Amino acid sequence: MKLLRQITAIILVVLVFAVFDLSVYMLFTRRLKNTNTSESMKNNSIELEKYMPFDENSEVARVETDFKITENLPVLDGAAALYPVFAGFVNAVYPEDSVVFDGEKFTEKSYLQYTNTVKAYKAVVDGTADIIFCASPSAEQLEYAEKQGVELEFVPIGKEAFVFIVSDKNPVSELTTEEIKGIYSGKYKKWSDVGGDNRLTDPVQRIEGSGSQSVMTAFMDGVPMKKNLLGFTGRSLGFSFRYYVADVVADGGVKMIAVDGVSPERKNISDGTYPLTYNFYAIYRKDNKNENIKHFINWILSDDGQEIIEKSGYSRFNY
Amino acid sequence: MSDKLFKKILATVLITGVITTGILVAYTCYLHKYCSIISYISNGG
Repeated sequence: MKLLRQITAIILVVLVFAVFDLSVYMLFTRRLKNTNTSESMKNNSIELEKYMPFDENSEVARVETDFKITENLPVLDGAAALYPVFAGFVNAVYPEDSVVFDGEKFTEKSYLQYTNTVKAYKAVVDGTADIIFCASPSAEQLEYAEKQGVELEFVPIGKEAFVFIVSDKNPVSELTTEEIKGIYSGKYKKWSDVGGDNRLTDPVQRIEGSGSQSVMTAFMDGVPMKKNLLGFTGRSLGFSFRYYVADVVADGGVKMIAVDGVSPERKNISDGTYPLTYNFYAIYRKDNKNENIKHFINWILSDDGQEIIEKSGYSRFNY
Repeated sequence: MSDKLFKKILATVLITGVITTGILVAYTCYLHKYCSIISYISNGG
């Protein structure tokens, strides 16, 4: 009898650990495992050398064009996500010796620079870059230009969509803006509230200050976003810029959903029917005397320039 | 089974259980740090 009690006690202890560990695994560990789709995500991070102009192994977008700039080259910089676009412009239009790369970064002599949105805005205001390629500026960036007494010209050159993504196993493929706001505000706690199955909604947010989180905050229009406490047991809804997820969708695992009945396809982004479409711009100082800036931007808006934008994964401004 | 042997087995089971759970929790924390949002959404079904 004593032996039976002892064996039972040992089995109970083993069972307690096994049930606890299994629960942790099923609820958390399994959910957080990087799948093959995350590899695609990593590959989509911008690698300088991957889009290096004039390198035959580069994946930079290529077009044949008669327009060339050989002197008074504008110095280019911009948002990291748009680097493949302006590297493509350089590859098509600039002379090969205009790009000086020391193996880690572009040197000061290089007419192609690569920083990020924050530094690029500062560079164009300070006059160390002639044209930058970025999304709309933040209030701080506009304030900095104003403080320096600099007026900036914004020329829209392409379009990008803000997209919402769900697992490809989620039966919901379309939401209205009101439903999306409802999920993020905590009004809709189950997918069945918006035409899906009976699982909990899990609205996923990004890091505060990131570009996509800023756009999402603006999209919510003052309505605070709430987390669904037990949402991690349900189906998630996330958001991103289309550029970052377009290839991932092709791998499976997630899908972009239609918003207000319009899917985020390139045509719908270019013609403006997709409701969450944002322009990105070529930005320069109004007092910049370099004549090539305007010639260059006119070329960017031509078929050749727009083809580079499209080949780089974005949508044309001139559709 | 003697009490001494029982305690030894129980201690071994407890230590193994705690170590296994610790490793699992640490691994989960590690994944939480590096998991992409795409994977998280995809894994949720």
